[in-house]
Amino acid sequence: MTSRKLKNGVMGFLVAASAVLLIAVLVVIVWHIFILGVKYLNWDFFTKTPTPMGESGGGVFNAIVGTFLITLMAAAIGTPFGMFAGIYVAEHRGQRFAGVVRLCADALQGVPSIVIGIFGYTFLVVRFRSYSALSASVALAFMFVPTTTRVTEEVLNLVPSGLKEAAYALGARRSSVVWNVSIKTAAAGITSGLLTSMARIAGETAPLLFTAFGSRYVEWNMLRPMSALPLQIFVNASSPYPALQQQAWSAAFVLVLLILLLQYGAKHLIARVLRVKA
Amino acid sequence: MKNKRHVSILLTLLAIVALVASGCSPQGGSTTVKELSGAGATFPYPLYSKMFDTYASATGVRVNYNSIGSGGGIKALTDKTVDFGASDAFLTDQEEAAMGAPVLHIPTCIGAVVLSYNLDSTPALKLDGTVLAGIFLGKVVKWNDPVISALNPGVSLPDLAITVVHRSDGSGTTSIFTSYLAAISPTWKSTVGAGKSVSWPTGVGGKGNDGVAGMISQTKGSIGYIELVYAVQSGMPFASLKNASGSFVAPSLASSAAAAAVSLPNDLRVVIVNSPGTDAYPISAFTWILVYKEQKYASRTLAQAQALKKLLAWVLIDGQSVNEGMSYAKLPAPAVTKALALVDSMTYGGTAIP
Amino acid sequence: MAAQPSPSDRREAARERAFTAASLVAAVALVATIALFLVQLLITSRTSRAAFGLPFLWHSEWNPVTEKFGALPMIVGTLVTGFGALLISTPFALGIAIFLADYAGRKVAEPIKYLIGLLGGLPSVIFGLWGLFVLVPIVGKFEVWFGKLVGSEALVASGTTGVGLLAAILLLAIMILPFSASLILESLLVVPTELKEGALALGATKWDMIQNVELPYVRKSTVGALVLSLGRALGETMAVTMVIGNGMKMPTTLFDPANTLASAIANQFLEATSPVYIGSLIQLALILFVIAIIINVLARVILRRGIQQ
Repeated sequence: MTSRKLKNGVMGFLVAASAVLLIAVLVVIVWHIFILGVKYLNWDFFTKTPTPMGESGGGVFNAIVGTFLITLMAAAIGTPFGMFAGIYVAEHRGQRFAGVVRLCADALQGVPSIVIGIFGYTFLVVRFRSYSALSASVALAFMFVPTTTRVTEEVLNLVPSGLKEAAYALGARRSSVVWNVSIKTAAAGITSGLLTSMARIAGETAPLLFTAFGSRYVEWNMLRPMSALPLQIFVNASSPYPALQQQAWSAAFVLVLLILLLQYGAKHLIARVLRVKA
Repeated sequence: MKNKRHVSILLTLLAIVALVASGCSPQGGSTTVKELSGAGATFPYPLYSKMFDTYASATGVRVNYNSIGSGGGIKALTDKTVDFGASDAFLTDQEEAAMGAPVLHIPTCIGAVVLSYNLDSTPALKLDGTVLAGIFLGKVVKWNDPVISALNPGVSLPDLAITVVHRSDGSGTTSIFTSYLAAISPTWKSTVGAGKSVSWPTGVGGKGNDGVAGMISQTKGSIGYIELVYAVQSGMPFASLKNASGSFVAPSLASSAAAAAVSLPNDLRVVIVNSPGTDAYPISAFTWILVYKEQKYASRTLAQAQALKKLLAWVLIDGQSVNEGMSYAKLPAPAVTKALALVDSMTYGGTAIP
Repeated sequence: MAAQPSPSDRREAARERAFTAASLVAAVALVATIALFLVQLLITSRTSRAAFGLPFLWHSEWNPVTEKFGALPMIVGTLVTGFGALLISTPFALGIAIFLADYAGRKVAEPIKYLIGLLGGLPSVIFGLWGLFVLVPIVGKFEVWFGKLVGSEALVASGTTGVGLLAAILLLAIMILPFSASLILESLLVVPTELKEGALALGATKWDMIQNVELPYVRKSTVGALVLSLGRALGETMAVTMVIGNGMKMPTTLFDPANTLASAIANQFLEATSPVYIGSLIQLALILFVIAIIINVLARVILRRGIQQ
């Protein structure tokens, strides 16, 4: 009896301790990013481009622009594919091919980002004879599509079947049921999913290494090499210049902020969906 | 109803982005080219970033250069994904064959590969090729090894293990350094050899000149090879080396320029390690910009070829004034003359580029 | 039948067809993507297979000068870091999940879940940055201390860098922790309350209940969650690339600089020039791709079974 009680107590302690440890690790990481990131932030950081090697000052405006363009473009490419594939899976639930599609979405989600980078290089960069932001967006779209597919499917499955049946009973076609009833009901959920997927790809580095390639200039042309925040963090972190390393921390801070913003937007929308349901 | 708006707002936004992006069409043939791209060696990167910055403010033409290593520069040019490559090692026959067309080697400066180290008292060290080969072969493992002490009388060396730092990527700097070791040490030549990437017997790898410099600065007891400017800019000590005529020479603008005082072949593909002059620093090297001689390939326009030719001529004449401020030696006059001749030999569709 | 279809009907029919076609095209494209990846990787890596064949998998020399390539050091590096990270993080992941499911009240659990989500959403390159500047120096100090403890001068010497397998394992363990913890938590939350309360009513302590009711119930889905986490760890690129030291030799101790399949590609792909070298790197990507697909499909199958049970 006592040994059982003792075990109960000890295990309870260990379980709580592991939670505390997780929080501690998280706090340390976030603390570093926040403290070091904010410390080296200044106005130039947001508005200037990198200075020539070894000179002080400069900023990462080029990378901020790049991250926005590349991420949005990836979402623009990936959204229709991901959404329609999700609709297909949701509408053909239980069918063999829908199962295959879902399995492929899962598998694609598990493909390491560096493999996607290699694919982007051999398939797009070599073919079009130029490193480009567009090839980076396509590479990221491969990561964007499967998450969007799964989210769309999940959200559509949440749509009350009564609602759909009522529409069918009124003689509506499937496309209009899906579009006017299901999608409308699930819109916020899907948008939230899109934002979550964007938060995920905005921080990806490996697919950009061999595609976006980086640029020291502010670049608006998607067909040219372009920088991005994650790329800049990677390059600066491994440089010997303290000024560049400090910039890496600031860039990390800005990137995390951006991701949190996207996640917050997603969460906010989800909360509204749940409120509407309740 | 309201929910649908979210999706439509987002989709509209994405559509706008897509439109804006597709509106930015690639460079047309008629207009002047405002952008050039290059990739390759990290060895001259500080110089190039300064040069191209100057060039952009002087001419409005932006040159996007990515320092991904000489191997990367050669690959990028082979795949024709850039306007020019940059390398500290001239093309091997195999690489030249892979290019599929003649490639010109345009030298831009002379640099020195220095041996930087991280020791507490930062003593000024003297080393020679034999000892270096020993260290990089993993045979000399302590800083107070008699062979090092013998070269440095009066310097107190710690009883500390040596951590070798080398490049993890394909590097012209590695090629220069290993060519030097192979020229000095038969053991090195037979067991490791010379090349852009070699199978290192010992040590840890850093990516790029900056990666190696970063690793040295973080690691007590380490030694590694980097381009002079990286050591100067990050304030790291570097060793004097015994040259072919037996004197100890510190790496500098003058001593690397002295190494280039040899007779140059017309194609300027020449290795100047272990150069004979008394003042020559033994691990000096040219670094090259690589371009196709025939510029009409893939979908390149005449305007692109012209912009590239203009840039190269500028680098060889006006650009040289940037060199010394960045710790790279200027090209000697004969090299400039020969290099300009190479630039003039570039063609577009078989005829000289106007 | 007899009546002419009205224009609006025809429009709707056209829309219906377009809609069906679009969703089918998207679904087929998704499946085709996987095939396209496989084919593209197979084609672009054929130079390597022509030169080395199957022994590529177990040869341990990776020498760009002599152009002899073997993947064994990277395969070993990948497996050691992946399983090492899983080994370290699993107890903590279980602990956190159990804590959140059975011990913490809503007020405590919700913020912790939020934090887990936050940690899980941080980009790999940021973990790498943190690992390089914070974790690696600590690992280096530990290595020196450990080297002195066991009297190994080699460890004391190399310890000053801190980069290597151990740093990669620790960083990976932190990175997969939120992932596996939230997956395990998900499965714990579906354990029927009646089962739990029944056990407690019979006089079991909380831990008795967890050990005898809850854990057996979620055994399969936990295994699935762990396999999925392993998949993540094996394919992780940037963070590992930044702290593993990029050694191309077969590692002999946990402190050695090494490479995983992913980090070797990240480090060398841009500068590989010869066709065999490039092919060999893509061959590494192909191996990684196949491993990732197998692990993911396996994990999903296990998870689905676990849930159906």
